[in-house]
Amino acid sequence: MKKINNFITSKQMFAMLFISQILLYLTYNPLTHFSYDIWDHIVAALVSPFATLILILPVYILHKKDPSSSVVKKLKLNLKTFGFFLAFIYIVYYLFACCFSLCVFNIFISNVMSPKNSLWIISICVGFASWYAASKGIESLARASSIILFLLLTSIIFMFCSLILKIDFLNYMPPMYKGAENAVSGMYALVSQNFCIAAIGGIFPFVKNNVKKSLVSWVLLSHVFLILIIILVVGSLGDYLKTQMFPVYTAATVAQIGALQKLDSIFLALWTTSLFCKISMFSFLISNAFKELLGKKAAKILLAISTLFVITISTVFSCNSELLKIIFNPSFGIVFTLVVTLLIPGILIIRIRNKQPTK
Amino acid sequence: MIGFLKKLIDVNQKSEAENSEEEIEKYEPLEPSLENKIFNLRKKFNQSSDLVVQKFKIDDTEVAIVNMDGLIDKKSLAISVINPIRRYGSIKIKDAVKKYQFIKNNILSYADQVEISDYKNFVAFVTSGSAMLLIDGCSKVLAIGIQGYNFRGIAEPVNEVMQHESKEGFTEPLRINATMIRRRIRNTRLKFESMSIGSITKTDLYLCYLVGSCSENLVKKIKERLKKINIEGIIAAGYLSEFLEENQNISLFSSVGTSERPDTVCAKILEGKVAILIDGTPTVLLVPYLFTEFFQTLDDYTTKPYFASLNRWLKYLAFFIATLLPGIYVATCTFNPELLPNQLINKIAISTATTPFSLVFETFIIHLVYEIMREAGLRLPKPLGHAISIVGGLVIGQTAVSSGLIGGPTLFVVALTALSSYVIPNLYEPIAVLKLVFILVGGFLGTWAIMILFSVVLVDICSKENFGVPYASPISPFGWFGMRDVFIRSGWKTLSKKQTKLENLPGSKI
Repeated sequence: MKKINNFITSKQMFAMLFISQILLYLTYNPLTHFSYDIWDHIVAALVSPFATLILILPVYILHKKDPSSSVVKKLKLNLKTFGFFLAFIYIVYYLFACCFSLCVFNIFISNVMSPKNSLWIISICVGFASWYAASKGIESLARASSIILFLLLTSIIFMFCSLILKIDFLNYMPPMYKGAENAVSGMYALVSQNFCIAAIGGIFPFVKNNVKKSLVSWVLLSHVFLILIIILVVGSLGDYLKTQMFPVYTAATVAQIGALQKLDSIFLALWTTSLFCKISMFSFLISNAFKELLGKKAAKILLAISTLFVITISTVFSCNSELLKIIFNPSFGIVFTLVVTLLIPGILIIRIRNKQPTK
Repeated sequence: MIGFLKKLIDVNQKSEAENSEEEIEKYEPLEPSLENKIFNLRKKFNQSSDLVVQKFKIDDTEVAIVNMDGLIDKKSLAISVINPIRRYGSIKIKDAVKKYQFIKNNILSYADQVEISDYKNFVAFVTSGSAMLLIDGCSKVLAIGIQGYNFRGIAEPVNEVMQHESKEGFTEPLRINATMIRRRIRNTRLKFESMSIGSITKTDLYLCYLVGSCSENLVKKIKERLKKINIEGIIAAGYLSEFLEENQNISLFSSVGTSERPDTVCAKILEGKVAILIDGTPTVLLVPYLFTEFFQTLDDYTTKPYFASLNRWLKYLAFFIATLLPGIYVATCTFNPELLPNQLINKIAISTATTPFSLVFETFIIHLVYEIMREAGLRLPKPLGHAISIVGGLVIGQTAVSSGLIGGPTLFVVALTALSSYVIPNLYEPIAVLKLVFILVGGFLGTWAIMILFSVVLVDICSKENFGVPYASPISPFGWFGMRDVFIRSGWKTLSKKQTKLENLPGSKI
């Protein structure tokens, strides 16, 4: 029998991507989403699935052409030195995704926890835990993510049930009542921070069955989840939301079912485990990209260096609000995302087409 | 540097092992002369005093019986070997080889007799309790199996008590343990394969499995791994189990199961697993072993499914309490007291205000004290055990609380953790280590760090594979079919329909 190593199922891929995506929505905050009015973002959440599907398309086409290699490997094989440079952009993007997520977590912990933890310690703990998980391989990560997703969904359902009881219908205003500006900024945020699309290009070669169904359900369900969050949070908190740094966290704090109250502990657990899964997944992609470009030994060393880089950058940036503006800059984020999801795969598709012999 | 040293040690060990193997493997035929044979044997055994040589004569030919003192049944030796030879009288055959053949075929009609012609086999048989018949002038020796050493009788295993099941437990001799399995599985498909491991001890072991139910590939892999073991001796099952793990010492959890009960071992063999019986130990190793199997006991299958399912849930809950409760308690009280109900936090605050130590220090120390008491209770002679429980429970526990050294809630958490950790005794080792780590992490960093550590432990469990079977299966990778005996125990009508084969488990690479 042929030995199959390091393969994941499309359901496991769904679990990994879904966790990474819901982290983005759970950590919804004005700093990264550029607006205090979360209600108008519901319009963005309705449009965003289509945008996401369009952005996935080039990566999916590349996968269909050669299912056994990642985008990074395809770049190396088809574009030689230039491909090497473009592949490096992917690694930088994955590093950016890790730093971005860790920065948001650092801000949250430094605002919420008392007595305060050192940001360095937080980053070191999360960084090294993710490095350990990434070094265990995608199979282990995917298996752990499936269990974590089950725990997350159970907690989220519990949290949602408790928030439903708090809904006040007077808190809902007609969408875009004060103009479309907030909706546009929401759309901007959703696209610029959708790091998973670039991650898909690295995960595809490890998936052993049909990915189409899982991808579509990931896009739809994650956005349904976002819409539910917006409806519940706005309905339960109303205008009070506009003064909150982390609205979903505040909603969890006020939620209660019977004797069970202050569900912020659940929220904290959700955030931490999702963050771990997300950074581990991107760390694995970094390691795999290095492996494909420079070999196995170099990848091990470079993964360790990348972890140290993520720890240092996220801590230094979290301590300084001016530096944070750079990492949270929407224009930077959206350009970077479009480059890795549309431009580079587009170049690659054209190159592969030109390479193929004409009939 | 460390890698280089490791390589150097490995090379040295390999060359030493190769040399010793060469020494052992060298074929040394037995000489015809009795004197030479006895001289060489004494030399091989370094003049050891337990090598007994009993000489006598048949007609003019000198004969000797060689055995190890205490390993044979002396009564059987006298009745079945010496007496028949002596009573027979004169054989009237001059040729020593023909005389040997005559004795072997006509005088001694013992069922368990083997012809030996070299020193290697001679040593192997004599040390396993055979009496060796040597005849002057003949280079062949007759090994007669009359083992008769004393051993502990069959009794209920102390470490694996069941409510409804058989009271038989494995004992030390390998063959008795094998018969206990054979008696329960009367099928020609049950196969025992013998091996010997340990360059010095040459410990016998049996690989036991059910042909057809157990994958051939799995058996092959296990045999290959066993053959690669380079160790001087196997004194206990634990010596071997580490070698059967995929990432030997790195993981906290073991993917090699153990049992002292023949009924449990038979159940696992029926599931397609391989049992490894080791001579001299009542512990039988079971490979591959899944994480969920730690939460299954044989009692689950004799009670009603609803009660067995309740017990399963209690075990999972106990595992989480034993591992996480002290850490969460310390983290919540130190960093997020707002997460606790007001009345509870008031009680904890009152108790911690009167104690001199920080909560993390208090919890950590009391857990350490408990571990010391447990270890003492385990090693002490039984009559002193009561004294320990009085000193531990009453003197330390009560006095520490009443004198204000330790808070009542902390002691309650410790007690609950200790109780819960014994619900799954086979997982005690990882639980004991993890709870201490969780206390430190929770006490110094908070709840988020507990979640990070929990995730790391989860990845550790999910990354483990033994002989190609995922350790966390069938939870992750998920399989509906396997789940009928994980969180709930389905009825026997469902369970008996189709056995879950290891190679059919999701993610299995056997």
